[in-house]
Amino acid sequence: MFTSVLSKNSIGGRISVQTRGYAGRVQIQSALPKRPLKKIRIGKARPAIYYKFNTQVELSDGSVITRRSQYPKDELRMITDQRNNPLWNASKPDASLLDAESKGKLNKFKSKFAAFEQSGKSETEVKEQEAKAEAERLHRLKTGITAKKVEKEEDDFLDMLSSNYEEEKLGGNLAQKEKKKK
Amino acid sequence: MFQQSVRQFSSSAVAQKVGCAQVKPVHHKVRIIKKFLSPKYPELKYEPHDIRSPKYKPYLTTPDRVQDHYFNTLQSDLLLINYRHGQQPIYGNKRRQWDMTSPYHLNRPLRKPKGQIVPSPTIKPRTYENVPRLEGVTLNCFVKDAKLYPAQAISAALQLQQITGCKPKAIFAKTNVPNWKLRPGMKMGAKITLHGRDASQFISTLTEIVLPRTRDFYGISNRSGDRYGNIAFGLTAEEVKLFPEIENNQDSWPQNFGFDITLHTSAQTDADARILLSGLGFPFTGSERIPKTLLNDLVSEEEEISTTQQ
Amino acid sequence: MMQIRQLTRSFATATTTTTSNIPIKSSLILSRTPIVTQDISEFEKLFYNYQEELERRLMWTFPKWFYFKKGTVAEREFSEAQNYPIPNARGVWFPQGNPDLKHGRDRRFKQEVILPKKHIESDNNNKEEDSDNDFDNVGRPIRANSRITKFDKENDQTSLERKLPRTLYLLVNQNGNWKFPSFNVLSENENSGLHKIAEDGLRIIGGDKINTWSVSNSPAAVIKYDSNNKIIHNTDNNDQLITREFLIKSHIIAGKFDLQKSNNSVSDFKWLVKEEIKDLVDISYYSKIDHLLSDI
Repeated sequence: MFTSVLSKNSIGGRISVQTRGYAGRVQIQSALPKRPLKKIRIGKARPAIYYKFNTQVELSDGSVITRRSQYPKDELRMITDQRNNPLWNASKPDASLLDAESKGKLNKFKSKFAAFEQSGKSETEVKEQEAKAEAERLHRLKTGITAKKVEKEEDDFLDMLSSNYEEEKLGGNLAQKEKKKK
Repeated sequence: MFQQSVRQFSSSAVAQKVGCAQVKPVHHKVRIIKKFLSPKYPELKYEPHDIRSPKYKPYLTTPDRVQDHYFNTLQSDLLLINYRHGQQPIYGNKRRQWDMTSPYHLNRPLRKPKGQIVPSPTIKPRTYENVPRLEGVTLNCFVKDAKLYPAQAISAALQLQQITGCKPKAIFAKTNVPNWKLRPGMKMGAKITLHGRDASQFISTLTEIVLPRTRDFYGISNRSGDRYGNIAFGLTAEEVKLFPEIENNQDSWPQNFGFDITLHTSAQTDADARILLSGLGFPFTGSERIPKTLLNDLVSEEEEISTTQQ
Repeated sequence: MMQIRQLTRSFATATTTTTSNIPIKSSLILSRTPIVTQDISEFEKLFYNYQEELERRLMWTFPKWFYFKKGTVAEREFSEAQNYPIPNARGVWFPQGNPDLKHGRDRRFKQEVILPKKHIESDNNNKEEDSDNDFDNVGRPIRANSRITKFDKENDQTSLERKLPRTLYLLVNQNGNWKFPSFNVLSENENSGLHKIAEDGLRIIGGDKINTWSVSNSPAAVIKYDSNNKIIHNTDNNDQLITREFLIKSHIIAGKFDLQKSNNSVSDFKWLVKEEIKDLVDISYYSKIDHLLSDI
């Protein structure tokens, strides 16, 4: 009885309505309908089988997988994914190089500092280098394997400089403790 | 001998024994709703897997590469990894007998286990019969704001439907927290449990497309797990945007909802479950804590010698 | 009983026993796991097709309004690509029954949604060339790579890129016998564990440009040889000079097996699937390893 009075009084149906049939748990009816408005008779309910497309997904190493997806697209190309993420490719130490191009960080850096890199080289040398890099990149895209690294010449000393370096810790703990107190 | 193995209803052997029957009487195991027996509902006569039933849904529509990988490579490897020679069962904390000091102890349900309420399972030695497998994946999306904006619970359900391709169920608040203005019965989000091909596709999407592209992802925490082989972790609203269905349709998704993922495995311990899941492509990170009770499952040397001498 | 216990300890923690009286070998089952999905039989193909068609028939109508907002270019392109059925009309006789249309779908049949094509079909002659040099073009059509490689065509059994849907196993011709590579456990590396000995031995015969992952340090099986190097099949053989060969499972992750010429014991190697192994190795040896090999 009580419920019917309350629901009649509520205007429109936007407000959520409290119903109390008997002294017990308070139940709140949402204004949104719980079930489809069309009544489905007993035994006639069908399972929800949504329309799905077979989407071909190309991963960064060129492998193609098929996904069944509701999104209307039959082809999807991934630039970064499992195949070039270093976390999944511990056996490929240069895996992060594979996606460095697509992320654009390396490109940005090069475009900024290309002038310094090619200083003191003749035009043919630069062109040769570019052609070589291009060929290597294509090879990488095809096979997913980076070509053998050119042995470092001068960088070795730079590496040695940084090899045993450990960053000094400056009383970080105290600061943290103070923060925690707050 | 023969009489003991077969349960008999009337025979002189049973009749001569003193005591009462140990076997509980069997009542109806199938609940019958009488009105559904009427000829008005012919569809109800069929099982859901019967093709004549309206409930029929074809499941084996495509080859399942995750399952193939499991059966071809992973299963035998897991057996070899988990197997240890001379493993002993680790008995769980079970319900206890009453000490019969009171006459009321007779026929009373068993006493609860020591120090806990629910009995813990016995961890059996790993054999070919209990190689862990992935049983299902549950996605649970609880939207805090849904108490103020009930429509958000619906868009959370739609988001789960888009990601998984299956129909989610609504979840409702159970508790009354006046401070949060939370009342029982409020629709708070959606959840869905995936099995079979749906689960396989979801985890392959997760490991191949979503997790590798999430920022600052170093693996699922090794501390995660419910002790008995179910591993859970969460995705934030930002990470949910990386699912292909959401990513390609960003205009329709002004707001995304993070959710919790529980990976249900049949493994007996979390460590076993982690080995299985890392075989399926989930990386793990952080220090691992294995309960002390699980470590001494091998026969100790003194025991072994004593048994051999006997 | 004590004897057996001692033996088991020797491979679990590798301490007490001396190899001089009980010769032990460590053998490596090195496998390359499948790279592509497994081949399915004609029957399976038909079964999956049948199930898929059933599902397509039972599928709900595609909610075009959710994915394509009204008045957008995408919506127009999508609508133009569809073959909408003819709606029911008065006075028109449909020989195959009256259409039952809802949201542009005839509900008597399965719905076929046609997605607008993005790639303009190029000439057939150029197609092959395009696919080779077209990696820059992000909009190129996605085509699955061939499941049959050139090594399959040449039947080059030393290549790792053959039989992509199958598991390959490394077999070597060691001292005239085709078998899994096997290594003696010498007294100096007695404490290093069987899996370590097998992995190190692999690097000696196959070079160190190989990345492998040992599945477990416990062996998958043991093969016993008598003093004449014949496999013992009955279990109650109490010969003191039994050689035990423990099989360690391992997967190749990266790199390749490159036969070292300096090594005399191994003359040849092959990457083979189960059936090929059966044809190549000794019958008695195969009967011992049969159950360890993957059918796929």
